[in-house]
Amino acid sequence: MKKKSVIIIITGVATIAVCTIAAMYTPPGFGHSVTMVTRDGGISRHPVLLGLNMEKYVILVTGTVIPPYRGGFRIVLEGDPKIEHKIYSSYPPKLHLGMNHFHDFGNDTITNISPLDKFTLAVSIEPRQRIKEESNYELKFYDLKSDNLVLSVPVSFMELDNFNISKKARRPYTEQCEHLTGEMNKSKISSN
Amino acid sequence: MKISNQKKRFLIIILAVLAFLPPLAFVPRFFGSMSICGSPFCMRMLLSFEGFSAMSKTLFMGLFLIVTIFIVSFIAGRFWCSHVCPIGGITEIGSKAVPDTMKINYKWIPAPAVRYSYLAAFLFLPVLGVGSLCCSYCNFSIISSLFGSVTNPASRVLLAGFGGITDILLLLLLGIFAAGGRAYCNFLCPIGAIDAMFNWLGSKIRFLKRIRIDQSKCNSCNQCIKACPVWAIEKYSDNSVKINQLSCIPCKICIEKCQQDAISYQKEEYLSEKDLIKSGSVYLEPH
Repeated sequence: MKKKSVIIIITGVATIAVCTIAAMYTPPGFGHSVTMVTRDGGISRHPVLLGLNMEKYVILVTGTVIPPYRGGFRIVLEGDPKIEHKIYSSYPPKLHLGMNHFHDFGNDTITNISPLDKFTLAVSIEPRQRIKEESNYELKFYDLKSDNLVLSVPVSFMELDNFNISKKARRPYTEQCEHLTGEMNKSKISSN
Repeated sequence: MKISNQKKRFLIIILAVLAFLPPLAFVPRFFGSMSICGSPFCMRMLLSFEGFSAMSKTLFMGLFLIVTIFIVSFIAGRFWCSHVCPIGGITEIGSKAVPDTMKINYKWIPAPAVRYSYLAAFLFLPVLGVGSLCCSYCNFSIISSLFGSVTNPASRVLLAGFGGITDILLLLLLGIFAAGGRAYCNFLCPIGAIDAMFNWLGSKIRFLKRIRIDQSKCNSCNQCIKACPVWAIEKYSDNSVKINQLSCIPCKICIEKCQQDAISYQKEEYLSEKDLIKSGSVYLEPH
């Protein structure tokens, strides 16, 4: 085999190895949930799983408003004990060029939101005391008019491998995802 | 006043930055988004497992962009990459501000091998349930957030929080501090990887224009090899210089650098094998 071919094969294999590790890695202080807000409780595609003993966590919640829902909702991080957090929204833009409709945001509340609007929220959690025990929270979105739940994002603090790449850490992650999604569906059925 | 081709190209890239990236982001704003990232324009998400299964309806502009880019690349070359892409363009422009002595040269790495291995991982790792490379290591995401952070507190939080440092490091090492400023494009852009295949396929059709070298004029001075931002020009042991159409973007820097006028953007028919043999620049091995 020519030297050039060997180099290409080694480079390809090394790239796939690095990519596999990179794809398996999940930062323990970050979670992203892809959501949809609906009148009957919403859908959260990725429950947020965070590690223990960290100074800071960031949760990204991106979502779309599914018709016919419109109006507004307040966002609350529920769980015991309460943890200090701040919610930031990407919308409305600082420079409003008047080309499109954007919802408003203030005091952890989104208002003036229309069907098919998208929202992006960054929830920054900086607990005064580090979270040392496994605990479950929920980021809940309540409709401003009816106070009905229009979206719920499960947020769990749990023991994760430092790099979150070992099978040991990976398995509970997947199981936990399935469990939380199952719980969410159950709660939806019972609320209906 | 005559504006050079490179200045025109950079001007188009700056216009693309204003059109696609915050704080103005004129084009995504028409669709209610503030950035190309996470908006209906996201092209890479379409290539991900979830994109195919669930997001294709919401990423309709991304689909339109991808199809348009691939058609243009097949017919005329990778003009999206060289002239429009605000992400690759901004790192190339940014790298101009870095002194050459501080730049990292990745030319020794076989770029197509990295690029297509990365593409394979990008497409198949989510299907195999290993995890996804989409979003976490995306320069579209990090550059959009950097531009957005000027006015958007959520972008600032994300940059500081979610491995933003890793992404910024990637951007610096493979973008601004890379020789040519296009290492990220050359190694890790899945759209660029597929786009390059369309470019390569198109280059096989003689009447389609591409950057080509007239071997009869080339004096092997290596100026084009040094200047190429995507390391697409290769020199062979027989001193011939060839363009790898799997990496070439029609930035035309090589055309401007060539003192011999040996490089041009033209059809293959002008540089037919017969002409090359006639000119003596191609040596046919005796049987």
